[in-house]
Parts: sequence; structure tokens; C-alpha cells
Amino acid sequence: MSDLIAYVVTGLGIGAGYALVGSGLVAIYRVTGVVNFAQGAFAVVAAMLTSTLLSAGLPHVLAESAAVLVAAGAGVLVGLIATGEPGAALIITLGVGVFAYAVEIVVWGDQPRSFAGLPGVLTVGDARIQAHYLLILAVTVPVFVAMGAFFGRTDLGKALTACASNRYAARVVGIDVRRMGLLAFALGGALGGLAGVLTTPIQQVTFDSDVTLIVNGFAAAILGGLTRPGVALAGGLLLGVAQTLIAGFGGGAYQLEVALLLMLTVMVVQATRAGALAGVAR
Amino acid sequence: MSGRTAGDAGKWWLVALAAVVTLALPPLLPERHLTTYVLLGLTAAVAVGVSLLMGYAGQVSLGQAAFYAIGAYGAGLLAVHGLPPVVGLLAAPVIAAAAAVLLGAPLLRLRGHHLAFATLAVQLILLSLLGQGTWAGGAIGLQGIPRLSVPGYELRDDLGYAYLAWLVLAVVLLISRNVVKSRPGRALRAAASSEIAAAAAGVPVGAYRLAVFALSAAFAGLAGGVYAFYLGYLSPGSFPVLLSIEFVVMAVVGGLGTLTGPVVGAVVIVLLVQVLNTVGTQPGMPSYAPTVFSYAVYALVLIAVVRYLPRGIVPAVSRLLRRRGHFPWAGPAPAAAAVGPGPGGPAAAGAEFGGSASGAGISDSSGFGRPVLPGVASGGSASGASGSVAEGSAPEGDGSAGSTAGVGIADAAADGSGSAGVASGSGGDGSASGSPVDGDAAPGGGVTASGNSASVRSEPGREKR
Repeated sequence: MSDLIAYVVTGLGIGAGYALVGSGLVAIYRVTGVVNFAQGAFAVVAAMLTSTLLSAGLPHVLAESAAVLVAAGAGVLVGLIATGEPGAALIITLGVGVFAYAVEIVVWGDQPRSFAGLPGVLTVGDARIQAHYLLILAVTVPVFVAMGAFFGRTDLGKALTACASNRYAARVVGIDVRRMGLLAFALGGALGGLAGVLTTPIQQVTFDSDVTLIVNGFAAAILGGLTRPGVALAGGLLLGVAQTLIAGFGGGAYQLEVALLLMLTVMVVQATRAGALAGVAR
Repeated sequence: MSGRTAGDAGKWWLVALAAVVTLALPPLLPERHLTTYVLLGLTAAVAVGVSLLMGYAGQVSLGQAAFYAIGAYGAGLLAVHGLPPVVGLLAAPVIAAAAAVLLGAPLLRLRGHHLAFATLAVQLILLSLLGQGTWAGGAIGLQGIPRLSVPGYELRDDLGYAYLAWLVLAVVLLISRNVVKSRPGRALRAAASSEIAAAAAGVPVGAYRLAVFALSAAFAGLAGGVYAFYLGYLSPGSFPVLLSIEFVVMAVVGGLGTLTGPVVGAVVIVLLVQVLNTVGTQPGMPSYAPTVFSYAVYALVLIAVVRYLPRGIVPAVSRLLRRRGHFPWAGPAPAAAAVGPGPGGPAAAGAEFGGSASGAGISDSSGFGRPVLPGVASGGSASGASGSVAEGSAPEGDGSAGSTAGVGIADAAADGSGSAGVASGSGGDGSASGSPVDGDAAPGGGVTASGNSASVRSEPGREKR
């Protein structure tokens, strides 16, 4: 029982990271129609930057916030590069992701990095849980609530949603679609950066850990068809818990396989359904 | 094409020249460059498959290295367990193709970025399994793979493998060329433009798409087989995700939907990486320099080409040469004639449907003329159709963010006979002219044209010339 609780909490912590990466994907995809392959790089850059800032003596919250801001800036940059060429955006973001490798190695080297998270261990029942996992949840859930409020209640959020819904109509009513796209990229960058900053204390980060992050984030986001952040949260948490449970109860090293198979199944089922409805896919 | 035209003659001269150069080069190269030469041949062979898949079936695969690995491990395991290496080599493409059929049957329902992530996931799964499977040597790798041999002769030195690798590339190119010129090839071209129209004309779109997927996997598998015997050692680390990306970069940079494109792309990138590698290993350079340079090359070349030469190097160069009139034979006379009069042409709206950014252009004489980056454009599989409807109704002039489909990659008519512009200055909807004509009328392609003619949306005035 204590194992179960520990696994679930660990899973939720890891899953929150996936959910944040996934929601970053969603934020960008909704507004611009671009699936940002460089999404994982935001997390890596923010994590590495945080480790540098912390070792330079910055206090904790400040270092993380600065890293997230930089990640948002990186998001805008990627947006500037990627949105000019809608036909090839995925390929361009792929290129940006690879370029990020070069930058990351030059700046931070190719060794894994980590930094200390929230210290302390909590005891729930007889399960011992690192406090940092709870911190991850305590940040992630409010972020998603705030995002929901932002998209649903503020003018800016509504404008973003309008772009997502019908770009042409949004332009007709005077919304600057391009600026909204860049804003979405900034938001996506910040969310990716937040994921990196939060999960690095529990999982080391190397320059190429973005592949795992992006695939898991995509898996989380795909449940909601890449358009619903709330579903991405649920999907990410589910994915994280499933992985730790599998790893904990005997699946050993096959957690990645299971998660990816889950994603493939979801996508194929979705495509088959959509195909039956639209008659497009076969 | 029936009959040898002047264009064909010129093309054959080029092919002969390329063959002579590739045959003459290996003995002249120093040992360490010979390794690069072998790997270049193999990589190019895989990239041809990727180009076929992306340019033809309109699908992006970010997991092509998985099939490379499957071929390599298949050949390696068979040889390690005592079968003659030649059997292993011949089995490699078959195993890879079989794997592609099994995987493709469910996965090819996906489109665009969904398929890209699915193939990436497949590769990650494969790498993880290979890393854990003791039968495959685990993370340490599969060792002791014998050299390739036929009874009485063992292929031992690098020189032999250099010729073998480029023989593989030649075979791959020959098969691709014949596939492209076949009826299924034309049907696929039609299907990539408009799946609905092609399907309505009786093209078994799904089956053909699966066949191309399997074929490209077979190419990768064959190259992987040679790789296994050449190195004699395989590990999951030899087939990173970045390798898959590398294949895509080469195909895109050279020009999707051309036969020579992936080869040119591979040569350009490998040469660049080699040069920078030499620079990066100079004394005084930091130890990470070569790695960083190679990443930077992939990334910057890819981004630059996609942004500034959206059809790739080969189509851009051949168009430039034709425009200057240096190579009059290079102008595909039949295609140009067929396209001629129509401003935008009936085939123009190819890009409208299904989200595959495309026109039906088959301009370039070298190969299977397909547009750039199909499939990636759209909002996704199911949304493609509805998305394009919305777009069709949007009379926006600058089409910047709005038009997801078919932006400016159309250009087809090869010699400037005036049909299609590359996205005209304003970046508007590139009207794909271009015709599925290859001398003889393409049945599927023809239907594409007529099926879409209702949705032609490019006004003549927007044409470039």
C-alpha cells in the first residue's frame, strides 16, 4: 500500500512534467497550427540555465523564474522562425530542435545536469514521499487553472482562442493573428521551461532528453486531440502514473514501451474514428 | 517516357558521368575518407527511400533509422547464428519491409505530424527493446558479425564495401525510377495531391501507400545490412533518433520527390560535416566542436533550404539552369506543353485537399517530381479537409498565416512557360500547376486534375510571370 502511494505520487510528479510540455504543444498548436518539435528544447534550456544560475548564487525561486522567462523568449524566437512557412513548420521546428542541441552543448556541455529541488521527505501513512513531487503538483495544477481562466475569461485569451477556432474570422474582427501566434509560442516556451525547471531535480537532464519529453508530452496532448489543455493535464498525469506503476510493479524497464504503445493506440483509434466520420483517411 | 529525346540523351550523359566519378573515386581516397564514402552511399540509399515516402506518399517518417536498424540487426543476427552472410544481406530488406507492412497497416491511417510522432515512437520502442534484449546483444551491442562473403571470396577491405554501398545506391535508384514511372507511381502522385479524387478514380490509395512505406523500409533495410557487415558490430546507439532526422534533412535539402535530390542532399551535408569536422578537430578547438558543428549544419541547412529553397536544391538548380538556357535538353517538353495554356491550370488545386501541401507538379526531368513537405502542412489528418474548405473561402491576399495548404511550393512548369509561380512575393496561395503528365496520360493524375477543378482558386492575375 505504501508502495502504491509512493508510486502514484511519483507518477503524478513525472506526469505533471509531461502535462506541462504537452500543454505547451497544445497552446502553440491551437493558435498557429504548428506542432512544435522544439518543445522539449525549452525544457532543457530552462533546466540547464537554472542549474547555472543556481550555482552562480541566485536564490531558488528567482533562478527558476528567470529560466522560465528565457524559455518564453526562446519560444518567441522559434515562433518567428517557424510561423513564416506554414507548409513546413514541423520540419523547421525539427531543425530548430537540432540547432538547440548545438547551442546547449556549447553553453552547458554534454554531461547530464541537475540541481537540488525542494528538500525534505513527507510521510503519508507509511509511505515516504519526497516533498519535491508535491511541489511539482502544487505548481502545475494552479498553472492549469490559471490557463483555463486566461483562455476563458480574459480578452487576450479569448482572442487566442478565436485564432484557434477560425483564423480568418479572427482576422476579420481585427485580431492580429501573427502576434497571437507569437504570444502562443511564448506561452508554449514558458510552459516547456516550467516543465524542465520543475522536473530536473527528480530527473537529470541532458541536451538530448528533449526527445523523451516531446514524445511523452505529445502523447499527453494527443488524448485531447492536441487542442485541449485540460485533457493534456489528465493525459500527462495518467501517463506518468502508468509509467511508474509499470516500472514499480514488475514491468521493469518496459515503461517507455507501454507509454508509447498507449500513444500509438490512441492515435490510431482517433484516426480511424475521424476517418469513418470524414471519409478522408481511407 | 517513350523514345529518347534530346533531354534523355543529356540526362544519360550525366548519369554516365556520375557513374564514372563514383567508380573512379574510391581507390583515390585515403582510408579514413573511404569510411565516409561507404557510409555516404548507404545514407543516400536510405534518404532516397525517405524522399520517395515523403515526396510520393506524402508522409513524413521520423523513424526511418528504425528500419535501417531492423535491416542491420536482421542481417547481423542471421550471420551470427551461422547463416551465410549473403543470405543475411538479402534477407535484410525483406525483414525490414515485412516490419514496415506490419507497422504500417495500423500506423498509415495517421497523417502529417501524427505519423511523424508515431514513427518516432516506433523507433524509440525499437531502440529500447534492442537495448534490453540479450538476444540482440543488449546495450553492449551485437558483436562478431562476420565479413560479407560468398563461397570462395570474402569482402574484406573498405574498397570493396565502397563499391558495394554504391551498388546498393544504384539499385535503390533504379528501383525508385521504375516505380516512379510505373502506373502505381503515377497513381500515388495523384493520391498525394488529392486522396479523395484518386480514390474515386479507383486508386487503392491505402495499399499503394503501404507499398511505398514498405519499399522505403526495404531500401533502409538493405543499406542497414551492408552497414552490419561493414562495421561488424551493431549497438542501439548506432541508430539514434538523430539519424532518422538526418535522413529527413538530406531528403528535404536535396529536393523531395526527385531521384537525385536525396543523393545530392546526402553528399552536400556529409561533405559539409566532414569539412567542419576537420576544422573542429584542429588543435585549439574545444573537444565538443565536431559534434556541435554537425548539429549546427543539419539544423541551419535544413532551415535555410526549407525557407529559401522550399523545393530543395536539385529542383532549384535545374530550374535555374533551364531558365538560363544552358541545358535546353533539360526542359521536359511534354510536360511543359501539356501545362502550357492554363494559368494555374486545372491541376492547380491539388493542394486544396487533404492537407498535403502539394501541387501535382512533376517538373523536374530527373525524377518523380513531387512537391515539398507534403503532409506536414496541414492541421492534421481529419482536419485537413475542413481546414482547406475554410481556406478556400478566404480571399485573403497575403495568405501568410492563414493558408496552411500548398503554399508556394507549386512551381511545376519547369522552364518558365509560365504556369506556376513559386509563392508569389506576397506568399499567397501557391498555385500548383503542373500536371501529372509524363508523356503519356496518367490516369490517376488526370482525375486529380478534374476532380479538383471545381476548387481552383488562383486567379490568373496572381501568376508570377
